[in-house]
Amino acid sequence: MPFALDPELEQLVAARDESQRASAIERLLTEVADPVIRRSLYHRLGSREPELEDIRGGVMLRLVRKLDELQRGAGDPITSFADYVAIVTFHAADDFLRRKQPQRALLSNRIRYLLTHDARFALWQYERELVCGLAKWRDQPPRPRPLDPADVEEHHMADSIVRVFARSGGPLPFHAVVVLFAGASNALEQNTPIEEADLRELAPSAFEQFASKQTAGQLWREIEELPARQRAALLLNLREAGGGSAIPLLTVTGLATAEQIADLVGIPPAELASIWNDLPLDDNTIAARLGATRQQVINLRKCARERLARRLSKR
Amino acid sequence: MNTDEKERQALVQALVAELSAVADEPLHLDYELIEAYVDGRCDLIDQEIVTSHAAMCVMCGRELRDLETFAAQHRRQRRTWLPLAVAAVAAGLIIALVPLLRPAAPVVSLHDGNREVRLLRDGALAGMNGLTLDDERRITNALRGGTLAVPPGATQLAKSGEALRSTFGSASTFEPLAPIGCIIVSDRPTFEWTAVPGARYRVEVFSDHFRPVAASGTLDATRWTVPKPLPRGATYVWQVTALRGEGETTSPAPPMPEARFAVLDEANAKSIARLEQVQPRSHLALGVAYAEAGVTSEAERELQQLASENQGSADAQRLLQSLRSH
Repeated sequence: MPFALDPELEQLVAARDESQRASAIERLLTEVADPVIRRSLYHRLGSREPELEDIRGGVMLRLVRKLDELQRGAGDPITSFADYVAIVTFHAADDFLRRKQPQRALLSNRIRYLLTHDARFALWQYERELVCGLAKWRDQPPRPRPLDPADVEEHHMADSIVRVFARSGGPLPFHAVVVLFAGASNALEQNTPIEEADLRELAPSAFEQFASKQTAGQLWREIEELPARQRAALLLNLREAGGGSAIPLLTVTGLATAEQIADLVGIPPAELASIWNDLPLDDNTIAARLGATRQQVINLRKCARERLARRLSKR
Repeated sequence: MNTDEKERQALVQALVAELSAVADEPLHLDYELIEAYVDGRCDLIDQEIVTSHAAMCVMCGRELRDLETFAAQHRRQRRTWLPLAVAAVAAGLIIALVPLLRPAAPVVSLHDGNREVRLLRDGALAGMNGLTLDDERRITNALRGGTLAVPPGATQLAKSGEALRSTFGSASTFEPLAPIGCIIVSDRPTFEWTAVPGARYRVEVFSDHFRPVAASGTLDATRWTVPKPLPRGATYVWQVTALRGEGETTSPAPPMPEARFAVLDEANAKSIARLEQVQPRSHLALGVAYAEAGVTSEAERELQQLASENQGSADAQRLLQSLRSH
């Protein structure tokens, strides 16, 4: 079933010149996105994080690229722009916290694992909040109570959780339990943020430099080395600047024959020929071909980009 | 700028734009996916996504490894706590209920290198990544049926080798040693033979139709590697001649059977080379791939190691026996 485009985006899609396009994007960012981003970040990180503006800027940049893509007819339609902004912001905030406090992220994962793998405990959603407690309290609302760090012993996590719940006498916000354990953990004293540089090895400028001095042939050879599913997710959706499929360019430039492309994307040549004019395929269609979900296709493509980026940046 | 150059630039531009999206929308693994992977609940596609990304991302890689370690400790502690009687009852219940309650429980589980490989009840293969669909299908079928499909050509070749070896006499006889009766992966085989005191040697390699394809010239050593690759996917016959004084002895010579071998075809060679890169320590993946390409000596080595890593496992033994039965 085709997805309906969010009416908020109609002005952008209908823009006929650069001025209309810029005006539509500005309206979307200031009137729709900005309030959602600020609210989400405040809810997640509070108001005191000095990096809030950086995160907000990063989210805005992603949104501009997405809107640009949408206006060119590339990428999947957005059914609710506000929801899309909220999701992008949630992930940006989450990534920020995981990078800034990696030990705390590990601790949070461990507590969460115990709460879902020890039959004495339970973890559930209550009105968008993650709540935890004894199994018999499942689905009850949280009842925040004062907690005592003395109940926590770092190396006996399950016993500690039993003591914490005994003292609380009722369900607690999961976040509060993580804060309690983090406060009592010696490991957090060695908390070393993961540097942006560790994650930014894949900056776009690296590829632009690469492209300026290398040939399409070398890029293509790297793509041939990708795992089969990642290759299919990447190539079947690959677009040239005008939004059309980039696959015909491979044959026109003599880099690959249609048969070779068919082999690489795991489609019989005759079948590839029959869908040639439908390329690029959308993610739902690729998902059906690969026996995957749409999100898996998106993630496979991201994995493919990461691998290529890593290999090319090492050259 | 001519049209070709324009097209080429458009292609580079498309590829660069695709790669640039790495920074725009980075992939990070959420907790649910990491937990599912650690618990062995991921399907093959998510396994590929998790392992591929974790190898690239410092943050997610660290979280994945930490939760794997923590989960393993948690499982061990739970096992320690359970009194034996309770454990026995629970085990009975689990055995009875697993087929009903856990459709994704493993039906085959093997230690393989540094990991646990499982064939789940729903047919999914867990614990391996980077495989092509064909690799995956081959391994799944082998684990499910406990049999390996060694190509008939490899079996016939092996029989010709046995026939030749059965004619060999004492250790002092002049004989070819290798390759005999096998498919080899390298397209530049190394030939070996027994020594004849005071002799020099000459090796000749022929196609299956007795057309000469390589010759060594005169050699002092008892081994020689073909300097130029032999065409893949073909069967060859070879002979070695000992030159001593004015006399010459060639082996094997009629009426002995020929010393035959084949060079692995291009597709299988590529597939195995790729597998050796993505799964260098998987005796299971390599053993199955070698066996089904007909490279039985390499398959035997890998599957023996798999069996020794899984002492008492009927599944590992069945694969080895299946290979030897061909």
